[in-house]
Amino acid sequence: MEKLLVKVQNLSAGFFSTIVLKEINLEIPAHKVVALIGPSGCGKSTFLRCLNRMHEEVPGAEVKGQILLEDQNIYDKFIDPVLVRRKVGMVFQKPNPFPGLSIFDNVAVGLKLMGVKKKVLYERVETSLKQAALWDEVKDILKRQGTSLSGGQQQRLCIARALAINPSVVLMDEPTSALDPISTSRIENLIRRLKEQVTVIIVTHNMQQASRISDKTAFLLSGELVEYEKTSKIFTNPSERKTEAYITGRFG
Amino acid sequence: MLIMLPVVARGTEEILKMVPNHIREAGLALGIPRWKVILYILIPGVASMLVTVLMLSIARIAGETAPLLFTSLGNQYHIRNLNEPIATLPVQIYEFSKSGFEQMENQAWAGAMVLVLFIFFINFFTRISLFFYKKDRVKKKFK
Ligand SMILES: Nc1ncnc2c1ncn2[C@@H]1O[C@H](COP(=O)(O)OP(=O)(O)O)[C@@H](O)[C@H]1O
Ligand SMILES: [Mg+2]
Repeated sequence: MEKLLVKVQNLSAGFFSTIVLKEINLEIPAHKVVALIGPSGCGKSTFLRCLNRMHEEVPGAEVKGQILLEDQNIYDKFIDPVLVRRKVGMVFQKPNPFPGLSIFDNVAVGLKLMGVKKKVLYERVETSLKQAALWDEVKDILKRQGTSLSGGQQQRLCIARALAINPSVVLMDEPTSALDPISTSRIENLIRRLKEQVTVIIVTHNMQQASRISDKTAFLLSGELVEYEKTSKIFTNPSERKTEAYITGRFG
Repeated sequence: MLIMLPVVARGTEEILKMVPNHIREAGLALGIPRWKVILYILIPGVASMLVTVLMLSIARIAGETAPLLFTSLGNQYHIRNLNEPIATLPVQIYEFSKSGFEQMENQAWAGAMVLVLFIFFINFFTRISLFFYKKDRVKKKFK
């Protein structure tokens, strides 16, 4: 049996009582890539941001239901969102390295602020940059500003930054939609390899991308989970009419 | 120097507001507490702008006379503790320049010169040190 890492139970979310997500239930196995697809505005980003408690950073945000991470409800009253975010990392749509910080510090800063010793730091930064397939390109220029890299390199730097603090889940919100095809395929390749370390939940508008890199795919439509299946099944033989209509491009 | 605080605080606040929200969110998403995100991630990104604010504030308060008339009260003699009225250059310049004695008026001009030079050198040294700091960085880049 595969191990279940995340269990989302009756999750509803919204802004100022406008409901965006309706009673979502889904379970995510460990060491898999799960793709989240659906038309714009259906709530994909909101769903991701519920998983690391970033949703509540927006004014008016509301959440109901529970999300179990390794059988612990991350919405329990006594749970500190800061600690949840160390377990559940995030990569954003637009590459956003910290301005004013070097490439090294961009990756190291999370660990530094957690009090990790200098000696260990270098090793951890190197490992993370290797996992993000960026080490060879930056190993001689670690002191340069993170913002001086190209867009694709910046996004891999952000992936390294997320990996450095050793999360068990990494959320990615359309991580390649601002990148060229070569940078995109690099990131797709590294996501496939990341499965050994972490579980990846990725939002994408690109159906080919979802089918290339994910093990399971969830289809969201106006805040409801329509179908959640093995990726191969979703793309060849979906059970729901709406899913088929969406992936064949008849709407959305 | 206390008079500087509101100006610096306002300036810092405005500059921090200019940092795009996705940078702040990236920090929070790394599991860094809010105050550390501000101190260690947002501030380094806007450090050079903060230096400018600091310089402008110094220049501004150095010439600010009116509040000093009421706060430091003006004193022409040496002080024994900080609760006494204290001498300030702008007030002194003002007093001397309206005194009518030529010598004192000359001293007022000298005082004004000291103020101007003070501001000039502060700005000068900040610029110079920023220049070398940046040059240093550029050099490292191409090593
Ligand atoms: N900060 C916000 N305040 C109010 N409503 C929002 C906010 N962000 C998103 N929404 C609304 O929530 C819905 C879902 O948004 P989102 O999760 O970003 O969709 P997706 O990522 O699937 O495109 C949209 O209808 C959007 O208008
Ligand atoms: Mg979105």
